[in-house]
Amino acid sequence: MKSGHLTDIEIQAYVLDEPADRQTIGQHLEECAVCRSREAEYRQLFSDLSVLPGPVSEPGLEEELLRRLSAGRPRRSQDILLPFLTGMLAIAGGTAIYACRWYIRNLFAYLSGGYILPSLAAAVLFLAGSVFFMLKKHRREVDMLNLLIR
Amino acid sequence: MNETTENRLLTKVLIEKILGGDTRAFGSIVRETEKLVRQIVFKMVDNAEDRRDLVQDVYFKVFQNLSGFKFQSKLPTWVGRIAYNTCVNHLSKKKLTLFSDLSDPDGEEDVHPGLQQTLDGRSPNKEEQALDEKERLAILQAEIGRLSPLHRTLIFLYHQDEMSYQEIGQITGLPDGTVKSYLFRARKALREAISKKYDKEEL
Repeated sequence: MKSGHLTDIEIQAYVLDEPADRQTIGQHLEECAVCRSREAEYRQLFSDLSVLPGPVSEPGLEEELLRRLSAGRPRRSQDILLPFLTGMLAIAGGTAIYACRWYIRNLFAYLSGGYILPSLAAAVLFLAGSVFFMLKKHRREVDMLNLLIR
Repeated sequence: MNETTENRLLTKVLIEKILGGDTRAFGSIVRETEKLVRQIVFKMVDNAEDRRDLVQDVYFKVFQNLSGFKFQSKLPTWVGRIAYNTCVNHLSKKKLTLFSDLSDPDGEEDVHPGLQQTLDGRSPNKEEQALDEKERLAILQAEIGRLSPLHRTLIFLYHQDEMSYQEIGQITGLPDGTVKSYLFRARKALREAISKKYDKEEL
């Protein structure tokens, strides 16, 4: 048997079924009316806490919120990131072209106009195709997830 | 597919829908988390008008930051954390106290004065029997009202919403051990206050 009285920590842990030396505590409780009384107080307290009425739900909150929220869709991280990155890329590209203007002029001096236009067209087509397939793949994934939620 | 993975997928679909512009889908997040948000706001803030505005503020923040949800916790826990932080900011703006010390320096029990004497003449549960449940709950409500907003919130999250120490820690940003320690002190303070009240009524 434990000498002296049990601590509140021990009694709380015992009542809440948390890790504790349950055998020693249980034995002490059997023999000590003071600690048994505190144990009973805790049991009553925890039981009362679980039945206290919670805050009442406010009728119409959902409707009001949805009405106000429908004015604007939530921010996506891309909403901020994409314009920022595009802007940075444009500035960096512009600066690079300006800095290398002599080199670029010399580079294109060896190429006739007949090569430049098809090369540009191929690059643009490649980029557009990549974006198209990326969006298609994303759409397919969302549709699959939608099927799961039904 | 286990339950966690399925829940995660459902949440992901829901978020995709909302981010895709389906605002009505946000209603299911409100329905799922409203009790928790109210629990936090109502326990941390006393003013009724402020509470109403805060509940709406919480959901605006959730809506605006939905793309920032990284599935590191359950969605309701994440919403709970936003609610908690919104209330902490509100209390701080109003210069109100979030936390008051219920310190128990040596962590040791203190047997309530006179308890040993009274135990000799009657059964241990006599005090409880003397008051009916309604009175008991009213006393408990009043004593909870005397706790700090933080202690009140912890008590309700644990004992009413049946959240674990870890989940409460995720909402409040406190380490699990601190949550446990604050809860211990709050319960002890409640037990002692109620016990004293019973003694006074007995006299």
